[in-house]
Amino acid sequence: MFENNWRPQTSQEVLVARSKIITSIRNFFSRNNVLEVDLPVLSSATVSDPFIKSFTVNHPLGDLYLQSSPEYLMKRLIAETKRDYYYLGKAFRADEVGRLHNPEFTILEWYRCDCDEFYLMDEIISLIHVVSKGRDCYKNVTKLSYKDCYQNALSTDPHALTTMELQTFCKLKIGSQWAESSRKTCLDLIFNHFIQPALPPGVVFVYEFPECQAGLSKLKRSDLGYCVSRRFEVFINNIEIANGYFELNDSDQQRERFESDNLERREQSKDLIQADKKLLDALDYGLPNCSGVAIGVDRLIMCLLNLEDISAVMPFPWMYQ
Amino acid sequence: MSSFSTSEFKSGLKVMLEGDPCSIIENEFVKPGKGQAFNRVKLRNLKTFKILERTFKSGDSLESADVIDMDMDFLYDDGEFWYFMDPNTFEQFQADINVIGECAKWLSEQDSCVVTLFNGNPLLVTPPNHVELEIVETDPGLRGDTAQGGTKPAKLKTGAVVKVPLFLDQGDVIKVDTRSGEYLGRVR
Repeated sequence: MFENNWRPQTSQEVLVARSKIITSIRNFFSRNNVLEVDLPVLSSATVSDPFIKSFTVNHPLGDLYLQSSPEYLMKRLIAETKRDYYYLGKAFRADEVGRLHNPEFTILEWYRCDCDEFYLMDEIISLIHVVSKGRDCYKNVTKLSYKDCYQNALSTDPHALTTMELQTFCKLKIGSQWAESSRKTCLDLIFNHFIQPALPPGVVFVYEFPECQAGLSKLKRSDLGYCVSRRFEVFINNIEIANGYFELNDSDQQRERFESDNLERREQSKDLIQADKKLLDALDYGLPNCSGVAIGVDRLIMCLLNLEDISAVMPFPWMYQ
Repeated sequence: MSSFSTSEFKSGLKVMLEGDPCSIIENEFVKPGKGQAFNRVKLRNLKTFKILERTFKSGDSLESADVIDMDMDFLYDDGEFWYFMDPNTFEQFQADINVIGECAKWLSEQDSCVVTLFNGNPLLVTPPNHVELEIVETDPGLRGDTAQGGTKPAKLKTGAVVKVPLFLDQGDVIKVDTRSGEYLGRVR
């Protein structure tokens, strides 16, 4: 029987628009003296983040992982050369399929040496201005601390709440199956159910994430004395499109994060991930103070084209390859 | 009994939730940048018709609900039960007022309806989208007044009351959309 599954899933118009956006991204970085770098997508190391599952590729000399982001490789590159790079290419996350997720996706990740996260946020605003061709809806930019977002939506300070208070809230408002969740998961659930829908329209930066959600960012004391992370996220019309850090460059702290990720993995009966020795060695050698951010390019394009589903901007989305 | 995991949830899938059969309306996979994945799911409880929202851990599963839609002929009602027959097997099913609900006011004998069975028993009855019914009670018709707008209530032989144009009279047979209760036209 004749099947239609061989056909690309996007229209010609979308492919043209996508190609133009990609070109304008490359032009933007070329104008701003950020060098494009082509990196392997297969590596012997992978992220330890307990909530990211990498695809494993078997090889006679040892398993390799499809990279969930070029982060570790880029940091090794910057430690050696002390200059700014961007990567625009493929990244992979197994098990992430949905309206906003495709296991194979296009990532844009770049680093700025000797710059903090606020410099990078401003550069993201410039990039969005360029790729949106200056459209008004993207000129509407708000910067909010994580605490301010909670304050606006729920009149409460997330850093001051105990884990038990967060668990009780999740149990009552989201469902009893969440009563035992970690602090990190409680905060994410509340953020997704109550905070994100209340974010202002347009481009929103949320910075100073809680310490337990630091990822690979440096920590600092907030004005109120809480320990917060120098991590930020970017939302366009309530859709998360980017995550950035003022990068952790202390190898001892990096080692501790690897260890605590593996502790969490053990608790959840997940495979342990060996700490990336080469990354630790690079940090020991010396990663300059730098900020880095990763943007989900397919999602960004989806937003720019006012589409509802990430697969609408991919000619061959998951299961149509 | 089989079960479905969150990654298999899709619109129309029938699952058991908190003891009741439900139909999935929407399933949104959420994976915060650095956090645990979950699925926000909208379901319709097929007994109460209420819409429910639940947040599941990705990978959790729900038991499938033994729910099937079958075309059946409405035979008759005895005031307590409404009787239906599967035209292929001639098997008969009875439904009480809780199952019939609003549908009762549209059903004439011999109508073909969709009967939703849960564990072999009627759970809900969906009348045909369009039915033709006789007006048994309405204000006298204003003949000739076909162009003007304006409506009046008319009671149909099955008990439903619908708004009809002013020119219609008792004894006229009209076509009605059972989903909206809207008058569609005069049949004779």
